[in-house]
Amino acid sequence: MSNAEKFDAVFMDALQITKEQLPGLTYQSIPAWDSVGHMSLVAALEDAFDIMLDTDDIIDLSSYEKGKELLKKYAVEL
Amino acid sequence: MLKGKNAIITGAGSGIGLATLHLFAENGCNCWAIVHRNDDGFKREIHRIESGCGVWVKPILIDLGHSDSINEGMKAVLKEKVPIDILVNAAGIVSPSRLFSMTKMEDVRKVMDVNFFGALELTQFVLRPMMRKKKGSIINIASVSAWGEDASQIEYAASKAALIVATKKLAKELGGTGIRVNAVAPGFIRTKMLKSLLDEDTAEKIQKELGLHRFGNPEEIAEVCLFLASEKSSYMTGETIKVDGGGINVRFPIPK
Repeated sequence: MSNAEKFDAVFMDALQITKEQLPGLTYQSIPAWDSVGHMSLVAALEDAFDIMLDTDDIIDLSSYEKGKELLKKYAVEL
Repeated sequence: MLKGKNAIITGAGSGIGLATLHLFAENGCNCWAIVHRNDDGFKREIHRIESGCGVWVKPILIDLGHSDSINEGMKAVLKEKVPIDILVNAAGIVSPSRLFSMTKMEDVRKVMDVNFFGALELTQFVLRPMMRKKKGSIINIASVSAWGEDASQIEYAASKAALIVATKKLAKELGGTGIRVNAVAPGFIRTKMLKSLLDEDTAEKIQKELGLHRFGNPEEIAEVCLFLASEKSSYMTGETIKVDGGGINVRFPIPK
């Protein structure tokens, strides 16, 4: 599985959504991505890519696209 | 009671933290002992605990007054990828007992940094692994001084009051995640900290006024921590348990 596929799979699994829902998806735009869902998503991303997000980045993780951008900081190429 | 569990205990070098480290280890719990100094005496203590209890104890050097130090120490802990089941925020400092009007703001900030912000920052680190497991117990060591009924130690009392409010708020926030957050509010406990604040005569006078006519021992606080860390308290969260030997109306003397 490529990193991009893994990234999508984490979002879909953590937020219980389909691949079609991913583009343009933003924080709090669906019920599952509330603050509790956000922390589960963060935990799942950290597990999947073996990284530890800084608190500032957890706050910055405001959309599916932003997530991709943030992971670059942790040397994860998508 | 905690066989196979892993706990982080701050202030593990002495007093309530050290007593909690001993009791948790005796109950089968592996521990990261957060200390600001890892001297030979503490190393020997750890060796005794490990060989006597069949658990591991890892000293982690963290200065809770500094974010960078917390960051570095906790990242090292999290890198181990060992589940964290329990956090006991037992570290605490006091500044010399004096009237507020004679207390430096620098001292006030230092106490708040270690007792409150340090505990919160550490908590933030353990939340994610606990959330992943959907389970965890966080125990904050507060103090009866949080009720603010005596005149001295404003910064200490305020830091502990803040910790109690944070305990309640966090318990609410984390209610759905399986993580419980509780606090223990000790009264007068025989620790180096208490000794540094009271002369012998005052200590004697205060003990006579206490319901049980004596100061408590750190081990008696550790027992309550053990209860809160274990499944025996599975329906408790957001609670602060006073353990003060019936210290109703007993006050710290006004500083001379």
